[in-house]
Amino acid sequence: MDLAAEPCFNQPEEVCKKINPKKYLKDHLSQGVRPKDNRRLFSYRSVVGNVNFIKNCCGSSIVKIGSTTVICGIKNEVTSPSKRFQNKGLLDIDCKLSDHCNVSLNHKNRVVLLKQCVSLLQKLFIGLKIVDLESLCIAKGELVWLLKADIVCLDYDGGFWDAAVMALHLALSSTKLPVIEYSPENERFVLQENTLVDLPVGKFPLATSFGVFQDFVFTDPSFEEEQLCSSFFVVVVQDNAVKITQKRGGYPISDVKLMECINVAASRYKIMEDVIRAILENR
Amino acid sequence: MDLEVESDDFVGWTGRPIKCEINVLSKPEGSCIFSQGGTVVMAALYGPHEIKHGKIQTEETPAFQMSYRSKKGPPSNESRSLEELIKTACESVVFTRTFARHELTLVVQEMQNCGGILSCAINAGCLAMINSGVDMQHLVLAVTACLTNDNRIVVDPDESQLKSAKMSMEVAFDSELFNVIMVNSQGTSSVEEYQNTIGKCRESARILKEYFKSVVKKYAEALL
Repeated sequence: MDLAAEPCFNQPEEVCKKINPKKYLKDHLSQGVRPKDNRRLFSYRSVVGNVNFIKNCCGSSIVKIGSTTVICGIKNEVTSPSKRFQNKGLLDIDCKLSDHCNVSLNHKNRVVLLKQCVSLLQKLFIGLKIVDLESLCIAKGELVWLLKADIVCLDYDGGFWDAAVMALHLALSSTKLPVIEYSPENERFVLQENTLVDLPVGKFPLATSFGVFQDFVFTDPSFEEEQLCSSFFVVVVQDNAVKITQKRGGYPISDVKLMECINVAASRYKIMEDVIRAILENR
Repeated sequence: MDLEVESDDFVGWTGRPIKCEINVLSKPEGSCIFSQGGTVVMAALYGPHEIKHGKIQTEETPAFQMSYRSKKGPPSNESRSLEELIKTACESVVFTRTFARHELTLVVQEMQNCGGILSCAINAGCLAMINSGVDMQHLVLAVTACLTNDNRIVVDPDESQLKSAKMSMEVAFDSELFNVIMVNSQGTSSVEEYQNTIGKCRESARILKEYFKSVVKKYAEALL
């Protein structure tokens, strides 16, 4: 951190990095290592998580991948359903970068792409039925739950999409909703605050992002690497099955590299599934 | 000069019939209307013109504006997502060095959507670029494919097939090495099925390349 604030030019490495960052990264990658913290091309940063730490939300989570920190809180509201889908609840997803991240607008528009991230989350959680919207129905045509999920990035160091998928899943898994029952004598719905039920959520989806820099492909790019990458590739796997893949950015990659990425993502699933289970058990 | 090309002159294409007409608009430098079955898209390329706003062009990314208009209302998250994918796929094709301090604008208008709009839009964008005569490194060829519930791979499916499909994907390839420029897939598939689907798409992209060549041959008679 000190070096970033006050560049110290008597070290040759720092000079190389400042003068030609692309060559600096390329030299590292061609040796099979990453500039920072001695990672290999396909090794991932450490992941830390916790759930249910915001008491005002019905479900919340915090996820740290390296120093990228993302929190997700879920607020519940009761509304009437839309006319077309009378027995379906609503899930509203929103992504934000807080001002503390200090990410330039250019980077935000080119790499972080919040709208596209929301679109991916919607496709994954609603389209592929990780949350079944029918389970959010209280009384058909009358009342349904509206869950508002807000994902906020507190500290940005690359890999926002991965963290967002994980945070949203953890938050939804920790969500507890009060029971609402219809009481015939009062002729209205009564909220029972003390009986809470878990929201049924499908299996954990694991998102792994890859950066493409010239002919190199590597996992989990950090902020500095992201700035130099020309293309990004996100793979979401769930239990040996490929769910969503999306490659944005124009630099072409060969078929061999593509399949390698998917295999790397699939092989990570077993380990990460245990991590997620441990986080959810510790609550 | 208007030019219509139908897909009769290329064999092996298993998808829906392809039709295209280039040079349909007079104002833009290049334009085309492109249809795959019921999906119809119109694309227009303007430029290169001078950069009006303070956008900085770097060595790798040319100044490239893209706007994708869907039929219905203001752009949603979904259509923004499509726009970004079309943009990055078409942008990668342009030779950047020749257009220092200039930018290109590509406008893609959805006319009718019967499935596979993303690949249709990318193909239309590519044809508009060919028509305008912008320097290109290679072509970009996009193919939609889906995996049905009985594990059959259908290339260029129609809307009903897409809806019932287990997995659907759009892939864009370059025309030289057939490397993958863009992928967008959703749905459940195993790794092997995924690989097979990409393989099938690549075969179709090779046929599509022949089609694009036939389009160029028809209007560039002087070159032959």
